[in-house]
Order: sequence, then structure tokens, then C-alpha cells
Amino acid sequence: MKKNAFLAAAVVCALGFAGTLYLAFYRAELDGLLFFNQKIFYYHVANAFMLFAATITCGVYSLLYLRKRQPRHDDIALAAGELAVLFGAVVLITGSIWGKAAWDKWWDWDARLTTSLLLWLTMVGYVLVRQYGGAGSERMAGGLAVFATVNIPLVYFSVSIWRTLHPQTSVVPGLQGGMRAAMWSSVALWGIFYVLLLRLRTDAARAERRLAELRERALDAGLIE
Amino acid sequence: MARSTTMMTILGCAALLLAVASTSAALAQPAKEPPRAYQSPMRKDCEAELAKDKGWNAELRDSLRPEVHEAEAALVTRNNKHVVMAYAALWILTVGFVVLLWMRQRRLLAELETLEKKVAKAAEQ
Repeated sequence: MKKNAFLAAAVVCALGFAGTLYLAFYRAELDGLLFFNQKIFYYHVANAFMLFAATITCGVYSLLYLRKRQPRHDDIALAAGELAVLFGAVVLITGSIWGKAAWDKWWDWDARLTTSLLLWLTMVGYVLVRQYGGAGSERMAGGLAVFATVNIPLVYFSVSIWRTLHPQTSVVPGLQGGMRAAMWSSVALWGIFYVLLLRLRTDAARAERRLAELRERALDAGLIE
Repeated sequence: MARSTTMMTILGCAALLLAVASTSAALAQPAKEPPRAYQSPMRKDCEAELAKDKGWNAELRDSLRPEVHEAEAALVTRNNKHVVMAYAALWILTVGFVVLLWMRQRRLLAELETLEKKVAKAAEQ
């Protein structure tokens, strides 16, 4: 990524975080049921969307890699996989704290919570296989990523399929006024932040791969020991 | 035709008699008193006990003060403990990831530099 573009995106993110927090805490109306605790919602849901986006990116690029065997696809898949683990951890932890505030319990084996945990564990599995699987692990991990992507509709519609404690999918489209502005600006901001992190991590993955290739060549040429 | 008219007349008279009988029976019964609110037989004892135990009396009075309920309501409406916990966890994870990414980038650059030096040295020899 060009340095100027990176700096511009970083500035947008920094200002955006300040702006969305202002909208969430000062402009959005106070919820009539959860009061101040509802403020968790704005970043929790945005991170859930990013979990889906990162998992889908990982799944799509893994599929492309499995079909075309282009290392650049694999670099993007790896970067997106790690980001899915990050966003998933944020979603599960903030969701658990939300659960304590709303239902007075940290965890419940509710359909949405359980399917989200399974999705996150699948992505943790993807990263672990990539890290410790050795040669050829990217193909095995690719299959896991495709499996995780196929699971996303199940996670999203779990609140409609089963009776759950978790709010329905209609909550976000039904928001009005300040709540709506805070919600969608948070989603947009986390979207930009996700793209920025994805680009940075992809560059790092690419550099790691090239460095490993260079080291092998230098070893073969007898330039290094 | 005549038979059915007779039958209807008999049935009408019977219904009328029944209505009159049931009304007179209802009027004959004494009017029911509205149910009294329950009064505990322990009330006097409790009042006597409260008069003796000044501390208990004060505690009960305290719990009925509106300020107590306002404080409880404020605990729900202005509780920010969970929000602070959630946002702290979120920032720790996100910033932690960015720092790890930055450290990985630095390690890569250092490795690249070392490799370049080794290759350059080997090429000179």
C-alpha cells in the first residue's frame, strides 16, 4: 500500500473512531430497556459484520487458491483468516458482557451464541493449521475456510430458525434517528479499518513468503549457510 | 298450526314463571357484603415489636424512602460498568493485534536486512 494512502486511511480511522464514539455516546438516544448498556451494541454488531466479511474473504480466496494455486490468493486468505479470529474474539467477548448486562449471565447455549462460537473456533482452527500444519497445510486450511463461509447463513439466520435470547435480525434495519446514524457509521468505519488491516496483513504475508523463497534460493546457491 | 301455537304459548308461560321465581328467590336472599381486605392477626404483634425495636423500625422506614428507589433506578439507568468492560476488551484486542502486526513487520525487515548482508558478503567473496 502506498504510504500516503495508508496514512490517509489511518487518519480517517482515527477521526472515525472519535466520531462514531461521539455519535454512539452523545447523539444516539438512550435505550428504554438497557439504558446506557445498549452502547455496547454499536461496536459489537459492527465487529460481527466484520467477522462475516473476513470469513467470507478468507473462504472465497481459499477457494480461488484451491482452484488456481496462486500464492497471492493464499496471502489474502491467511490475512483475512487472522482478522476473522480477531473480530470473532471481539464479538464473543463484547457479546458476553452484553449478556451479563441484559440477561444477567455471561453465557448461554443459545443458537446465535453457539453458532457464532463454532464459527470462531473454525477460524481459530484455520489459523492453527496454517501456523503449525507444515507443508501443504494451506490446502487443508482452505477447506476449513470454505466450510466456515458456508456456515455464515446458519449463524445469521439462527435467531429466526430457533427460539433464542439474542435480538432478531430485524433490530438493525429497524433503528431510527441517532441510533441508526451511530450504527451505520460504526459499520462503515470498521469496514475501512478492516480493509486497512487486511491490506497490511496481506503485505506482511507476501513479504514473509518472498523472504522464505529468497532464503531457499540463497541456500541452494550456497550464498548462505 | 294450532298445536304449535299452543306449544309456544305453554313454553312462553313456563319461561315467564321461571323468570319470576328466580327473581323472587334472588330478592329473598340477603345482599352479599363486599369482601373485606385481609387483615393479618399478627398486625398488632408486629406493631408492638416495631415499637420496641427502634433499629428495625428505622430500617423499614429507610427502605421506604423515595431516595432509595431513585438510587436503585440510577444503578440500572446509569450503570456504565459493562460498557467500560466491553470497550476496554475491544480496544485491548484491537490495539494488541495492530502492535503484533507492527512487530512482525519490523522482524521481517530485520530478517531481510540480514539476508541481504549475507548475500552481499558471499557475493564479494
